[in-house]
This record gives sequence, structure tokens and C-alpha cells, in this order.
Amino acid sequence: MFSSVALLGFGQQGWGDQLLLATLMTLAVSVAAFLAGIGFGILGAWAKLSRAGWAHVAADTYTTVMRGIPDLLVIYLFYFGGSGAVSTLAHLLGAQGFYGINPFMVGTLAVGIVSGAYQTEVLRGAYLAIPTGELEAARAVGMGRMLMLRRITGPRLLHYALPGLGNMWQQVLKESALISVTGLVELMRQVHIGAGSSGQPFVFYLAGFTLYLVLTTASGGFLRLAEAHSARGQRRA
Amino acid sequence: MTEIDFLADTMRRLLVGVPLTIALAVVSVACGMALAIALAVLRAGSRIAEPLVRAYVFVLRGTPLLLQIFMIYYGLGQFSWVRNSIAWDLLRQPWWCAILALSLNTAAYGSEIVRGGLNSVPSGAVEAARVAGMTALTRYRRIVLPIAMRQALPAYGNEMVIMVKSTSLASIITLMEVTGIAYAIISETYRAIEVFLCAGTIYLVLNFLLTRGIGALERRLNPQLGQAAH
Amino acid sequence: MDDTAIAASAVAVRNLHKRFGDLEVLKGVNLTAATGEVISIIGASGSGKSTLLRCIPLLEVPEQGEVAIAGEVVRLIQHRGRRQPVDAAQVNRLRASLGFVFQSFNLWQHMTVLQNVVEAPIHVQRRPRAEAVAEAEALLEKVGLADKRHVWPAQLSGGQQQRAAIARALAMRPRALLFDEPTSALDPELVGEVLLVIRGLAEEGRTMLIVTHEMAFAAEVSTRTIFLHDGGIEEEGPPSRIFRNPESERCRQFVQRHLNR
Ligand SMILES: Nc1ncnc2c1ncn2[C@@H]1O[C@H](COP(=O)(O)OP(=O)(O)O)[C@@H](O)[C@H]1O
Ligand SMILES: [Mg+2]
Repeated sequence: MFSSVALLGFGQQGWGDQLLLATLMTLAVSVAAFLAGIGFGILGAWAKLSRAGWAHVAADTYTTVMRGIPDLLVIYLFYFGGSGAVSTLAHLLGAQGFYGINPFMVGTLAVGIVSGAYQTEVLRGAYLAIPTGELEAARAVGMGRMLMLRRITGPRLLHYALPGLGNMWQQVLKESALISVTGLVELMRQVHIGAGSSGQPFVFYLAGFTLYLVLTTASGGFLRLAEAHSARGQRRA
Repeated sequence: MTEIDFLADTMRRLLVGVPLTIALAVVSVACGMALAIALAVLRAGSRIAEPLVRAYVFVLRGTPLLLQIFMIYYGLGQFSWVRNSIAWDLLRQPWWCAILALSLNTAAYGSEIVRGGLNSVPSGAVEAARVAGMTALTRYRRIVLPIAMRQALPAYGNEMVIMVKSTSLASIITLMEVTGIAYAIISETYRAIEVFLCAGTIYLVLNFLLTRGIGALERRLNPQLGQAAH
Repeated sequence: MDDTAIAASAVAVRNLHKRFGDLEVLKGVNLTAATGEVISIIGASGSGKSTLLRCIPLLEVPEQGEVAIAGEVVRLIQHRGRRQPVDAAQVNRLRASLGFVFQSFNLWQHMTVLQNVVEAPIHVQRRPRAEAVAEAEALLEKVGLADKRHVWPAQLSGGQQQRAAIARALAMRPRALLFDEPTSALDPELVGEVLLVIRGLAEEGRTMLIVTHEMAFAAEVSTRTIFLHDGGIEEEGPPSRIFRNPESERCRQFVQRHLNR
């Protein structure tokens, strides 16, 4: 037991600082992927709500494909496909060899695009849940599009989307572990490295369980606070 | 090799992995569902089991599946008593580790879905079964679970689709299912886009068939909802 | 109706046509409300009352005809097979000079009562916050909701919500107030408190167009009554005549059915 504590602690032989850094990396790449996902989700929801037929088809294809294909495959596509594209470009410019691209970017994009497919449905549902009368009242007092978005549609959308977005965040946090296959040293990768080189894999994976649970639980609590704040004054359903 | 030849060749090689993908999905969904029902019933019925089931669900749903797979495949072997037990014959095989991890994982999500189904069973139906003189076991088997599972089916269908996708993680512990083969072809050829197209198509077809099947099952279990009856 | 009449009016529509798909809802309606007039609009359900009222702030865009607010004609053009405003800014400016009260209140649920009332004055009309708040508090006092100003809409009764919505409309300092069945969504015992507020507004000499099924109330407060039938004005005149001695047989039957209730 003492040896495990020393192994995971912050001392000279301890892995504590690496684990902490890796946890922060998981947090960073998850936040980036989640925000990218919101971006794709807004585009997707906008397309599904728009009147243009081609936009519907594009958005439906996007959500069907991304929700039916393993995330790991999407990460491989971006990692190898992206690197291939960059290498080709480099060769055209006269350089040689294989060029990897930034794993952080790859992970953010891949997990973000998959998450965006789910967020499309969350945001679309949230928009449709806004009582149309409230939007009409905003139009009737002479609000322009941007003002209405900022003062009425935006806040109301956020209110209805918040529970779903919270689930999406938790999902992204867990999916981010897959980015470890690109070599990005986030929590999953760091735990795996420690497990391999220390001869005490159980201890390291257990530390991994604990740290992921801390992340999911802490953000879950934060999300509940945000939901409570946004639900001020709303009648409970 | 032309583009078409490459795609055809890739497809041929990937299809070899389909049986393994399907086997992983079917076995872990089946084991997972049995465990999910047991967990949900335990949670509803036993005051001692309730916090334990909750803790189980909390841990399995709060951590990445990949970590769970690694814990079982690499982590457990740290202890000599595990290595000396009979279970070790299974635990050192990637197939059984993948099945174990996938089943335990889907059971956690599934038990929440079943719990939702159990909560939706109208108390009147249970009353009626009770006054008909059914024992608790018969009540569960004949009335409560059939109603709950019908209610839970759409959500459980989604969970099955997620499981088909999740089987891809088995490739990380050396199992050559579809994603594992795809990875091998990509690292040989660096033609990620073509391989992605082929492998993606396979998963889309599998999940399309799965959703169709669940839809058909839903209609069969709820004939009153479809036009098929009469 | 000529151009000088429109120029002098608070609200005017001329030759209004509106259809939804194959359904022609308005078939050439003309209506001018002079400043200070209180016009009640009655008619069977589905006769086009709401559509007529909603065309005035361009919540519906008519396929034909003109709308003028405070003498200013809204500029509309045909574009991509749809008729639409030339200038969104003009529409928004004119909308901000009207007050619209909906059947279902439509208060913004994420804002308190006071925030609902000051929202448009501050953000659309760009009036100073302090002035808007002071005026809003006076208006809430007037509709009997002074003590509810920091309460969320969901915590109010229907009657209170509608009175808050009326305060929100009044806060625009509107040239005209438009009411679309303001009491139809209310429990019977809450109708009185809302009608009392509207009656007070009529006595102040405000320009109002009121769609309502409350015949006794309409007869009492309005200076003119319009009976709408099948997308057209079947009869109009002083309420004393419309409610006691209408020329049209349909109007007589309609009024009788509703007065006797
Ligand atoms: N947005 C709409 N789309 C399609 N039909 C509509 C729409 N709004 C109103 N209608 C139809 O137009 C007719 C007149 O409606 P409305 O003006 O609301 O009547 P009223 O207010 O007199 O009851 C009705 O038949 C109604 O169904
Ligand atoms: Mg109406």
C-alpha cells in the first residue's frame, strides 16, 4: 500500500505531477472538442430547421453517419487521413518523409464532429421546445434578428438545451480517452504508460478510474448548478 | 491497382472481421441485458443492494470504456492470486476480456433504461396481478418485466447501436474485428479515406439492420400501435 | 378611403388579402382607426379576426393590400415568390409604436415581470434604463401588479400574466393597442380583472382594436364595432346599432347567440 502511495504521489519517484498534467490535458481536449461539437451542432440544427431541402439532406446524412460509425474509426480517419494530406502537401513542396499532424487538433476535431451529430439533435429539440408565442411577442415589440437572438431566443434555447448538453459533455469527457490512440498524452494515455512501466498496472488504472470519476462528478455538480440557475422561475415539468 | 480494385480488396478483407464484430456485439448485449435486468430488479427490490447497484452504475457510467477494458485485460494480472485462479484461463484471452468489459459496461447503462421501464409500469397492473393470486416471481415474470421491457425497448435499441460501435475498442486489445482490420490496412497503405468509407459502410449497414429489427420487434410487441393488426 | 384619411389615422389597412395555402382567410378588408377610437372586432371562430389583427404589425404579411401605422405605409415587395417587407428596420420601428396583447400572454419566461416590461423600451427603443424602470413600475401599479414586479411569470395566475402583458404593451408608449381575445385563455373568475384594466385604458382615450367574444364588454367600451364574416367585413357601425339592431341577418344571429350566454 505504501508503495502505491509513493508511486502515485508527487515525490521524485511519484507519477503525481504527470497524472495531474494529463488530467488537465483531458480537460483541455474535452473542452475544445465539446466547443467544436457545439459549433457543428449549431450548423446541423440550423440546417435541419432551415427551409432549404439540400440542407436537410446534408444534415441528416451527417447525423446518421456519425451516430452509426465507431468514434475510433473517425479518429483514425482524421489522424491518418489528415497526416496523409499534410505529407502529400509537404512532398509537393519538396520535403520528404511522413508528417504527423497535431494530435490535439485531430482529437478535438474527430470527437467534436461525432459529438456535433448528437448535439444537432439536442439543439434542434431545444429550439422546437421554445414556445412560439414568446418569439412572436419579441417580433411584435420590434426586435431585430440579432437582438432577438441575444435577448430571447438564445437564453430560451440554452434553457431547454442545457440538460442534453450536460449529457453531451459527460460523453465527450469519456470519448476523449480514445484520443490516446493518436499519442496525445491525456489521462488515459498517461495511466497506460504508468501501468506499463511500473509493473503495477492495477494501481495505475485504479488511479485512472478515480480521476475520471472526479472529472465527471465535479462537472456533473457544476451542470446541476447551471441547470438550477437557468430554471429559475420556470415551472417544474 | 486501380481505385475500384483497392476498394473491393479492402472490402473483402474487412468483411472477414464482420463475424467477430457481430459475435462481440451479440454476446455482450445478451449478457449485458441479463445483468441489466438483474441490477434494475435488485435496485428496485432490495434496500441492501440498492446502494451497491448505484455505486456500480456510477463507476461504470462515469469512466471511459477503454479504461475498463484495460483494467480487465492488463490491470487484473498484477495480482498473483488472479493469475493463479481458474478465471485466469479466461482473463488472459482478449476475447473474454472484451466480452466481460463490454457486458459490464452496457449492463450499467442498460440497468438505468430498465429502471425507467420498471418505473413506468402502472401500479394498477401490479395490483391486478396481486389480487389474481400471483406470486412475486410470477408477477415479475408475467406482468412487470414484459411491460417494462416494452417501454424500455426504444431506448435499449439506442444502447444496442452504441454497443455495436463500442465493439471497435476490442481492436485495441488485438482482436481483429472490422476496426482492427481497418487499422491494419490503413497502416499498410495510408489510404485512410478509402478504408474509412468501406469500414464505415459496414457499420452503417449493421446498425441500419439492427434499428430495422428493433423497429419490427416494437411493432410486434405493440400490435395496437401499428396498422398491421386487423 | 383616401390617402388623407390614412395619413390622419392611427392604424389603417386597405384592400387586405391573406391566404394560407388554398385557404383564403382575408378577402379584401378595409379598416381605418382614427386616433382615440376603440374598435371592437367580433365574428365567428375562423372568420379571420386574428389574421386581420396580426397583419397590422406584419406578424402575417398580406399577399395584397396595404398597411399603414401612424400614417406611414409599410413598404412591401414581391421577392422570390413571397411578398415581404422592403425594409426590416421600418417594420421593427413601426411595430415598436404599437402594443400587441396576445390571447396566450406570451410573457418571456426567463425574465421577471419587471424585466418583461422594460425589455423593449430599453433594448428596442433605447430609452434610458432608469426612465424605463420608473415608467414600468408606474404601469405595473396601474394594472395592479406593483407587488409582483420581481416575480417570474410562471408564478402568476392567468389574469395576472395578462395584466403584466398589458403593462408590457403600454410600456412601448404605443400609438395604438391591439388585443387578440385577451380573456379567452382565462378561467371565468379571472376575466373581470383584465376587462377592468382594458376599460380603464378606453376611458383614457387610447386608440384600441379589440378582438373579443365578450359582447357586453364590447358594446360598452367601443366607439365602433366590426362584424367579420368569412374574411370580409359583413357589417360595421356604432355598437348601439350592431348589438341592438344589425342590418345583416348573420350578424343578428351571431350577436344574439353570444349576448344570451
Ligand atoms: N398560420 C396559419 N396557417 C394555416 N392556416 C391558418 C393559420 N392561421 C390561421 N389559419 C386559418 O385561417 C382561418 C382564420 O383564422 P383566424 O384568423 O385565427 O380566425 P379567428 O381569429 O377569427 O378565429 C382559420 O381557418 C385558421 O385555421
Ligand atoms: Mg383568433
